[in-house]
Amino acid sequence: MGNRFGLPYLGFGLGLRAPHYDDALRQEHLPVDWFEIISENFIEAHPGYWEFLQDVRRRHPLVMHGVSLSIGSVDPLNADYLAKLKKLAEAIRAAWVSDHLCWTGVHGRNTHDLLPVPYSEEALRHIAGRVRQVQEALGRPLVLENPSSYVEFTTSSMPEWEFLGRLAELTGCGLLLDVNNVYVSAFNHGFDARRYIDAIPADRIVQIHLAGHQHHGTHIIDTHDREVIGEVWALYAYTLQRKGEISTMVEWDEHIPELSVLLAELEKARQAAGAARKAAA
Amino acid sequence: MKPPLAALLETFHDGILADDAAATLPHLRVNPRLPREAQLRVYSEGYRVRLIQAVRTDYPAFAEILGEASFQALALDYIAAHPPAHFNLDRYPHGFAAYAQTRVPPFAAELARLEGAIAEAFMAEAGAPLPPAALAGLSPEAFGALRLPLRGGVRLLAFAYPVHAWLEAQREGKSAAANMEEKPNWLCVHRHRNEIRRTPLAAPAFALLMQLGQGLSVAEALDEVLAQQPDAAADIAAGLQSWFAEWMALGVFGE
Repeated sequence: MGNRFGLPYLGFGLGLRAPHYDDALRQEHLPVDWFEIISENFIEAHPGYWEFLQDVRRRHPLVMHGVSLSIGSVDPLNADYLAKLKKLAEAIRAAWVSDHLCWTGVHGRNTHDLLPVPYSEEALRHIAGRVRQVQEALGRPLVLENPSSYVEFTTSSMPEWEFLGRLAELTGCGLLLDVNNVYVSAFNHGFDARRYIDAIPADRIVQIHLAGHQHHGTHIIDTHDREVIGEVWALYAYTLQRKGEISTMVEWDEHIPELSVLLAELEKARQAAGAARKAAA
Repeated sequence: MKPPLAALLETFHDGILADDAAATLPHLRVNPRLPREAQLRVYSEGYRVRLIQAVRTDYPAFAEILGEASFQALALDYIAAHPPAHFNLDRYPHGFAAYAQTRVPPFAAELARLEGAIAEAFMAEAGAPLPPAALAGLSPEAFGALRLPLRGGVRLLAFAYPVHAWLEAQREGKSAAANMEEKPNWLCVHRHRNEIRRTPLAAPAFALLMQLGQGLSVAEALDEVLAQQPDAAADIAAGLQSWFAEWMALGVFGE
C-alpha cells in the first residue's frame, strides 16, 4: 500500500548529521538509502553547505525535516522562513518537506522546543487554515509528524490520533508517523499505542521515524540519544504489518555514535520490515 | 477577550519562559504518575538546557576559561534577558558576546568577542570576493582612487589581550601554558572558500582596513592612517604591497 501523494518509497534512511558528513560524501557504497536533513541547519547556511547537500544528493535522495514551522502557534506564519524553506527544497530536490504538529512560541518568541497543541475543535480549525497556507507557499503537501508530549490540556476534546487524521483529511497533508513518539506519549498519557497506530490512515503516512528515548520511571523523554528499544521495534513491526512498507528513518541527535552503530540500527529496521513483509505474504 | 487557544498558548509559553507553573497548572490534566509541575518542568528545563548548549557551541573557550558554574549562570541570565526570537537557533548566541562584555573579566570579555566574531563570520552572507584582475595593471593614481568595500562578514577586531594566540593554544590543548598578559593585537576574522580565516594584522594595517571599510578610497584611507599614526609611515611603506597581496588572496574585499 503506498501513500496517496505518489511520493516514492525510499527504503531506509538516516539523519544527516555533522559527525557523518564525510561518510555521506565519500563512502561510495554506504548502506543508507536516503538521508533526512534538519531544514534549519541548512536554510541559512553558507553556500558551501548547499554544495555539500547537492553532492550528497547525487547518491542519496534527501528529505527535509523542520523544527521551526510552528504550525500550531497563534503568531502569523513566518514568510521569510517559508521562502527559505522552499528555496532549499527546490535546490536539493527534496523528496518531501516535513515538520511537527506543535508550536514553538508566541509574541514573536521562539523557545526552540516542540510545544504541545491542545486537541480541540478550535485548534483543529486554526491549524488546518495554517497548513493550507504553508502548502500554498511551498507548492507541495506538507508532511506533519506526531510529537512526543509530556502534558495534556484540559481543553482537548479528542485524542491525538483523531486530531491528526482529521487534520490530514481537512488539508490534504501527509503524515510522518514517529513510532517512538507514539510509544513515549502512550506511556506518558496512558493510552494504547496500537490503537493509535490503527487509527492513523495508512495512505497518509509518507515516512516513519524511529529513535531512542530516556525512561525516567514516571515518564519518558524523547531524547534521540540511544538505541531504539525492543518495545518500539515491536510497535514498528506492528505498524508495518498494518500499514505496509513505508520509508523509514532512524534519528540520533545527541551523543551521536560511530556510523557503524547507526547502520546496525538501520539493519534492524530492514530486518523488521522483511519479517513484516513475510508475515503479510 | 482572547480566544481560548491564544490565551492558553500564551499562558503555557509565559510559564516556560518565567519558569513559573502557577498559571499553567489549571490547564493541564492530572497524571497520577507525574505531578503537573513536573510535567511542565520537562519543557521549562529543556528550554534552558537547549539554549545553554547553543551558546556553549559558539563559545567553547569562553566557557572553559570562565568555569562551568559561572558560564551557566551567565548564560541563564542572558536567556532570561534575551529570549530567542529567530527561527534559526544558530543565530541565538550572536548577542551573547555583547551581553558578556561588562559581566566578566577583561580577558574573558575579549575572548567572547573573538568567538562571537568567528560564529558570526561563519554564518554571514559573504558574497563574492573581489577578483585579482580588479587590481591588475592599475596606475598608482587609479589604485589610490579605488574604493574597496570589505566583504560581507569581515570582522576587524582590536584586542588588549592576546586572545587569538590563547584560542590557538586552547584548540591545541595547550591553553594552560598560554600567555594571558596584556598585549595589544589586531585581527581580521572572515570566511573565505567556506572556511574561517583569522589573520593577525599590524596596527597600521588594521587601521587601513578600518578606513577602507568605512568607504574611503585607498589614498584617503592611507592619509587618514598616517594622520593617526605618523610614526608608522615606514612600516606602511614597507608593508603595503604585501598587505594588499595577502588581503586579495584571502578574499577580504568584496565585489
